Amino acid sequence: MTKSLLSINNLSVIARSSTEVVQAVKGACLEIGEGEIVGLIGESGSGKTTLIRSILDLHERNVQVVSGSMIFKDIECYNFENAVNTLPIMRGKNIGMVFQSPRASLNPLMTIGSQLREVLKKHCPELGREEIRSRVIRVLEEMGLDSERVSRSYPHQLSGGMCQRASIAIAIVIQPELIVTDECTSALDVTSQAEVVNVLKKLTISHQTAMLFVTHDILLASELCHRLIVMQHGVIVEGGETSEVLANPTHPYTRGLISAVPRWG
Amino acid sequence: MKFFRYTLKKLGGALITLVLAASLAFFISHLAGDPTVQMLGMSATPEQIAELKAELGFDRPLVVQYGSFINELAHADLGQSLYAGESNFALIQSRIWASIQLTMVAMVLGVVLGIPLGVYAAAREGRLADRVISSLAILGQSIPVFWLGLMLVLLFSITLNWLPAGLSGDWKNLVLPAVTLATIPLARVSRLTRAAMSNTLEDQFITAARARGLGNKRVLFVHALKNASLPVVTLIGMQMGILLSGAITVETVFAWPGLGSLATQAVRNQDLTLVQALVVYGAFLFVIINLFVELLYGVLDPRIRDARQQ
Amino acid sequence: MRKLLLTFRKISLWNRILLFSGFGLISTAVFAPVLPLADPNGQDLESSLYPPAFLSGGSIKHLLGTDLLGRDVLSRLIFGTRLTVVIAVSAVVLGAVFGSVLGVIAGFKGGKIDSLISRITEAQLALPFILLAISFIVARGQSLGTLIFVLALVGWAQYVRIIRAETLAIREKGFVLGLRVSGCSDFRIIFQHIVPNIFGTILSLATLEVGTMILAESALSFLGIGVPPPGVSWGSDLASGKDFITMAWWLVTFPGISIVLTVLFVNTAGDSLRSHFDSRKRIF
Repeated sequence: MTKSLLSINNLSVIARSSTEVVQAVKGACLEIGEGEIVGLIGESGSGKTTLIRSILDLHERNVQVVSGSMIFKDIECYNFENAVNTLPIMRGKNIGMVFQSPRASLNPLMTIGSQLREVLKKHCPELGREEIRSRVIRVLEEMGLDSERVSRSYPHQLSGGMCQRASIAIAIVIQPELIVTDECTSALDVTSQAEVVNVLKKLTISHQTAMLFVTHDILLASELCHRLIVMQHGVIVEGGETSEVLANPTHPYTRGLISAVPRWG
Repeated sequence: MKFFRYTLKKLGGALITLVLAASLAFFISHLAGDPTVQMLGMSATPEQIAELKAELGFDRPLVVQYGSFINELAHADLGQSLYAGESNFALIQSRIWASIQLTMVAMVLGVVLGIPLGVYAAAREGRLADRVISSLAILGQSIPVFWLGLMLVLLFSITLNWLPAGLSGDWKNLVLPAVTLATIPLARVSRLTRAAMSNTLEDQFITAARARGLGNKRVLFVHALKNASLPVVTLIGMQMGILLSGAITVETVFAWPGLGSLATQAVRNQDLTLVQALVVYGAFLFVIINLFVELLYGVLDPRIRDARQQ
Repeated sequence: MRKLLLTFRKISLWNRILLFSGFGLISTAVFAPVLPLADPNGQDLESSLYPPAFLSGGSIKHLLGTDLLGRDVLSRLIFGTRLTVVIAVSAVVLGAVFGSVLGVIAGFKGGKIDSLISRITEAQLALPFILLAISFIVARGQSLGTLIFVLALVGWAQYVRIIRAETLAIREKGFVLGLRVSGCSDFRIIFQHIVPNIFGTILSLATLEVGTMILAESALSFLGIGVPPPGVSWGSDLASGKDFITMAWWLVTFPGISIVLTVLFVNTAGDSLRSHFDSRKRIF
């Protein structure tokens, strides 16, 4: 039994539009163990993005948490009822995030290298220039990128897959314990997708980084994740070991997702 | 190397625009008709008109006139003032420094105050500060700048006697006209900065920067502002033309010895060639400043430099 | 009649206020000659430089005072609206039509014609407005027609770029390509499909321009090359008033306020009109 890294309890979030108030997430409970890859599956509108935004406390203006608590490494980091919130401090440092659109999450006016250095300077102020430089090179090489060329490049000069791997590099360079990825392969072509998935797999093995892999593609998730969680209409409807969920889905929605996947032969 | 090629391209474009602009000015003023009748008045005889026409070269075919115009332009010769008989170029040069002083100070004031106001309004979007700043900016664009100058003179010079209205020779003179003129860029820059910041702050890379744990100040000023400043830089270039026009009326109000008063004098004296020379010179200033702005843009935004390559 | 009332109910309170103010402004301008006002050009040298009625030395006959020649300020303010509106609207219409036509041609035809038009537009934008106006008016002499032409000259370039971009966007749409392939004439495509769609944009731009034209006209009148006498213009009133700023502040204050209020009104009305059009933009 892996030690629990993050546990979310009874999280509920609402979203306000000019005409109505919608429950984006209802009473969600979630656990991620150290070094575990957990897949969060659901279609658009299921509330999965809102859920992971809650982990980083990065909501838009019209979105609000109404209940819930979170525990990270045995310390309570968030509690709505008691107004506890240390999530902003943990952003980037303990929990990293990779977004869907590879270029959109990078500053178009800064080189990849300077964006990496910026993060290192913020979270590891004790490091010297040489140390920072070597870390940048190391993390880019880990992503299978030509560190010399990429660190001096701007986002528009790199392909989508390369940008996404650069974003992952920026997320992991300070070695957070947990990485949340929001549909990070959906905007890529098949080859780039495979590259990124490969890189993510190696990450969890080499750094023991836990990952919350959010996607609508259950097949992709099953390749990568130890456990699967299924979400529909803001509610978590199913959860368990990947093989279990695929073999014996209990909820009709899960069954629908699995049967919708085209199979060979 | 890439930047060099970009610079050359922009330089070429600027030159073409300048020549076209000068030509346009030429044809427009000649489209207006024959100024000799205007100059000599109603009682002029046909012989007098013909004589003046020949003297000024207005009797030559248009194409020939255009040719000599371009030729003179290439030699930086803007003709002779009809009234004063001096070289127009020399007349303009004697006044230009005063105008540059005024315009530069106004522009700097407008930008230095406008950008922070715009950033502040964007950061407080929808709230009171934003509404106040935006309303003031809209008001600023609805006020005739020369009237504002008159009102400021009324208030600060006549009523309160804090600042001189006439010329007293020191920096205090510059205050009222500069502040008056500064409202033009101030209003536009603050509005545009606010809009650009507001748009940029909604971009995903800002959320991503926050997700990486970067501090609010850094996100706002390093990430958001750098990106938002691009359209503002372009605006500053375009403002020159408007600022120049505004400067003319402001200089008239404050009797500032710059190009503006030179222009009003030219109007009073029906000095057509001087006015035309001013138009060409104004276009020249505009083109030069825009060139700098485009080069600056190329420095700030790497995407633009590379766009040429494809 | 009923339909009119129903449409009226749909308009928000703010827009209703604007509508009424606009109506009031236009009717004042139109009916000015029949209103019980003094003759704006009527000189009365004995009543020269009277302050406004609420100050000492003022008189009820001249609510906002008089100028050097004894002409009533209030009357001049109201009569000034007429020419201001006529000049601004005419200049905008002229400039908009000319600029939009060029923009459509540039966007639709593309290639060399497009480059030529774009280059000329850029060149026009490089010319400082007031200086260009001065050169034209000095050569031709002051007149109302000249003034309107010059203002239109200054404004047309703005339309070209935007209309060109819009035309290009529509031209690239699938259905237009289909029409061209099936042999539909260019003329027909432009009039039946492109023009209805860019009309909203043109209107939006034009409403913005009216305010600019009012300010430009007042600037030119201030410099003495705008509205020729005996036309009444706020700008020229400011010019003549400025020499008396120390002793007759009302001559400089009130015409200016009129300009500001008119421009503010035009801009705000334009904003409302713009948002109304934006929401139902694409009609096809």
